[in-house]
Amino acid sequence: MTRFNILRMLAATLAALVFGAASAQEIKIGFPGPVTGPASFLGQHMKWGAEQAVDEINKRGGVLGRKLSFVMQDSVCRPADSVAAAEKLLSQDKVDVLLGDLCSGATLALMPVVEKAGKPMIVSISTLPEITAKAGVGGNKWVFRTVANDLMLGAVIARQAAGYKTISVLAEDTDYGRTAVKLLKERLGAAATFVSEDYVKPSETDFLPMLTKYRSTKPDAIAVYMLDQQGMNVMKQYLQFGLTMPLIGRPPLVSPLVTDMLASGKFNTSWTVYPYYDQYRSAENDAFAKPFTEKNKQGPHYVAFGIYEGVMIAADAIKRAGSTDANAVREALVKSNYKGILGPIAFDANQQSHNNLMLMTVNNGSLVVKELVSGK
Amino acid sequence: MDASLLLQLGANGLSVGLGYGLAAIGLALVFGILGQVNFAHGEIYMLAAFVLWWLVKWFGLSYGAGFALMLLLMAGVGLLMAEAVFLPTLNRSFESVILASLAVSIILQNAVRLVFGATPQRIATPLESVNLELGSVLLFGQRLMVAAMAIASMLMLSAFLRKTETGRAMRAMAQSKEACQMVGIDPRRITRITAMMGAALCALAAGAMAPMFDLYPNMGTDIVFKSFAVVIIGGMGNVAGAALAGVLLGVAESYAGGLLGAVFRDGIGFALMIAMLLLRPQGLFGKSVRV
Amino acid sequence: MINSVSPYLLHIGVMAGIYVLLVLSLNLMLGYCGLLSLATPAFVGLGAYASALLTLRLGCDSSLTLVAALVLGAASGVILGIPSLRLSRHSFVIVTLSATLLLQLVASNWVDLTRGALGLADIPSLRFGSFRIDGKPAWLATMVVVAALGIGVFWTIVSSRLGRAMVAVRDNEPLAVATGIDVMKIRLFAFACSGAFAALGGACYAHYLSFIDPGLFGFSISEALLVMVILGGSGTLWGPVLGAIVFTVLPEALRMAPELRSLLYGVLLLGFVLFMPEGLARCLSRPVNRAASAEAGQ
Repeated sequence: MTRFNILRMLAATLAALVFGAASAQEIKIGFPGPVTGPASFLGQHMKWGAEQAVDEINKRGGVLGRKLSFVMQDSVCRPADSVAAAEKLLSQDKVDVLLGDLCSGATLALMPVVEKAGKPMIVSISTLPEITAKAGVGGNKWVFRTVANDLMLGAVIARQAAGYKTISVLAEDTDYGRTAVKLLKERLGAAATFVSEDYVKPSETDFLPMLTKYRSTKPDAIAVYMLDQQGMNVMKQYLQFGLTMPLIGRPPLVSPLVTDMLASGKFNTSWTVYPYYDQYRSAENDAFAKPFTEKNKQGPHYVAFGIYEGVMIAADAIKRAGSTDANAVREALVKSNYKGILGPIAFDANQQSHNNLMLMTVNNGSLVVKELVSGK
Repeated sequence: MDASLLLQLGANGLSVGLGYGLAAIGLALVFGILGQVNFAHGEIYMLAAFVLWWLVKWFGLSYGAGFALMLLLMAGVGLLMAEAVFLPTLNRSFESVILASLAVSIILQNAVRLVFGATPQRIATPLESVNLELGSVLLFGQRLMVAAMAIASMLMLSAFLRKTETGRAMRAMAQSKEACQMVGIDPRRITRITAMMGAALCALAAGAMAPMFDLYPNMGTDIVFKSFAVVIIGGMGNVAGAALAGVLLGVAESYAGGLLGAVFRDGIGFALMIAMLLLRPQGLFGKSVRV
Repeated sequence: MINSVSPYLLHIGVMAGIYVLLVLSLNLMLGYCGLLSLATPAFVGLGAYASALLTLRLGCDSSLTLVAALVLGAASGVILGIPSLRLSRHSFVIVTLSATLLLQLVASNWVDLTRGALGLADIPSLRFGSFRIDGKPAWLATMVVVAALGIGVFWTIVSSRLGRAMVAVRDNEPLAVATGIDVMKIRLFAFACSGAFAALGGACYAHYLSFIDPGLFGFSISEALLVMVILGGSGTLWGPVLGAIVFTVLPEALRMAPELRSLLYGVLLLGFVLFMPEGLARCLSRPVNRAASAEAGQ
């Protein structure tokens, strides 16, 4: 290699670094997510969901004849890191579509970033209602949400919780936990007394003081709002205490890692409402969940499902747009009517979709889908 | 106020607190004797838990056999830490150790995540569903084992530090590194032994306590902050103080959390630390490697 | 031309600029007073929330909100300093850490004021009268100016009589007292300045990222700053500034290996600590000194 060529290569690399990589033939989807940190278990699932979606699409010939790929950057679920990750994805990796982060705070921080960059973002995991309020008509037209937000989930949860007179709350001290509880209290109004409210830090593992309290105060139900890892510890300690009141709201009953605990029969009155459950039997879900479980030795968590569908919907929009031009893709997204695993996905004026939600109860030691509730 | 509620909160606090004490002893030892702050303490705890899980899952060892083997392996890790972190920074500023141990904690956390994955794991133990009922108070089997281990290791450690030659050499080093060399005690050898013991004690805590919760690469972060709180409240470098301070913290947290709310549980540790440092800076029991 | 520079690089530049301010805050305490302060995130958070709330709730002009952040930072330094600066060095570390984490709990739970865990979103960018800082190139220019001013003020402090007094107390406290230096006053002054620097950095952070939450009070900022200050060269003027730039860029550069990024960072960090313990600044200036002393030796 002549010195001139080497110099040219170096100059090109430097220029690419400074001005952004030259666009490759591939179509790229990017997302920030918790590769490290307390939510890394879910970050892992996000990656697996993306891998499967990309594999399936490429096996079917890619998008517009081009190969599809994804890039995931670490955000540790922190807003500042998420913004840095997104900036890199947008300007260095030159992704065509961005998917939202796991944690709502991070996704909120991303919204102005994608607006400035003029690239569409599909939020498929974060559930904070504020994101919907800020998107679509009169707001950020680049943000679309496929997952139900906490208002929608909360409505179904409140309806189901109507019979309880006394409720104790155990939630993670985050935007998600606080908002979900606030919405529940608003909906239930005077019909239920909230005996106690405990907001724990997301890394807390020891729930003895609270469970001891419940053993004594005996509320009709314990409303749980936390991420899986934490929730599973709660369930474990709940078993040790021999408590019997139902766990409601969003306890991690769906997690494949708690099936043995459910089988003990001690959770038979608990229930939850989730955007997705991997054991839900339908032809569409089997086509997604079975290969996932085979490859990753675990059933898909809802975040995996979220990212999978996010990638699929993005690819679908690009196909209908006929190009990766950001404006064209955005308009195609607005007109989406994608046949999702749980039902059709279309966006309302706030660019929020009203997917079906699952109300699940524990019957005879296993979690079953009691009904598919419309998200409207 | 319900008497059984108060009693149960007290019992919980006692057992959780002894667990804190057990986890903190290793940190107190390293700080007391080497004067060095080990930020990787939580990750050593986490690594120990994962090694135990690995031995049980992949080699089919029983909990007891795996525990014993894991202790040996972790003592080896302690030696590595001595070589990589404590010895090179022996005569340097305390900031170097902070950074070096911080670096080790990042390395360990990510290495475990890459090797074992981020999925939470579980270790089964023979005592996990064993409960003891004393009146209306529930005592959990595994936690009783933790409490027993905490007390046993405290007693054994204090005997070791007081009665054996090496133990006395370690206490000498806590008093003065320079004086050690004058009487023929090799600080490097003491550093290695202290690091190994610190790691083994931390691993002991992990083996006993980790099975009560799920294992994941980040589990060490909370341990290190709690252990610091215990060490401060008890008196930096005071090994006996660590156990008693642990109990104090555990009980305070239990009552705060149970009667006031989770937020107060989180805050009481910090409040106690600040109060201790402002009112009695040498900690409850004073600052020397006392037994 | 600057408009076609990758927004990602501009973003890194702005963050590096913010971290320069934070680094000055820690360097003053750790490098010049010999006290490891883990309170920097507390001042950052206070400055960020103060400036953001004044802008969001009262529509104040940024000239006012930034001054408010500075004043709040300095005042907090004095308030926290009075009880804690008379303690031993080790105790000071723990008290500053505990105070910061307590403040985080307050920020999370005083929901009426701070919206708690929901955080404050849509914080408008800096505005001075009718002049707004819009877009990354403008922000980069702003941070360069602010950082330069900060370094200037820092240099003035450390080369003044007060700065020399700080170093005297750090190096030999009994001797400093014997020469009539009021140790408490000097340390309070340093801590107040430290608070002001960090609060200003926090305010810039809030207006740039437009979103803040109680996580800002967490330990990760201290972690990053420790690396920047110590490996940059604690106690030198330019070392930590260099450290701020290098260690803002490094984690971003490592993003080319998304899975291994954090592990590589840890390994590099350990390498730096073991092989370049006095810090970048001193290592880089050593060859100069050697040459000078070689000449002198001849």
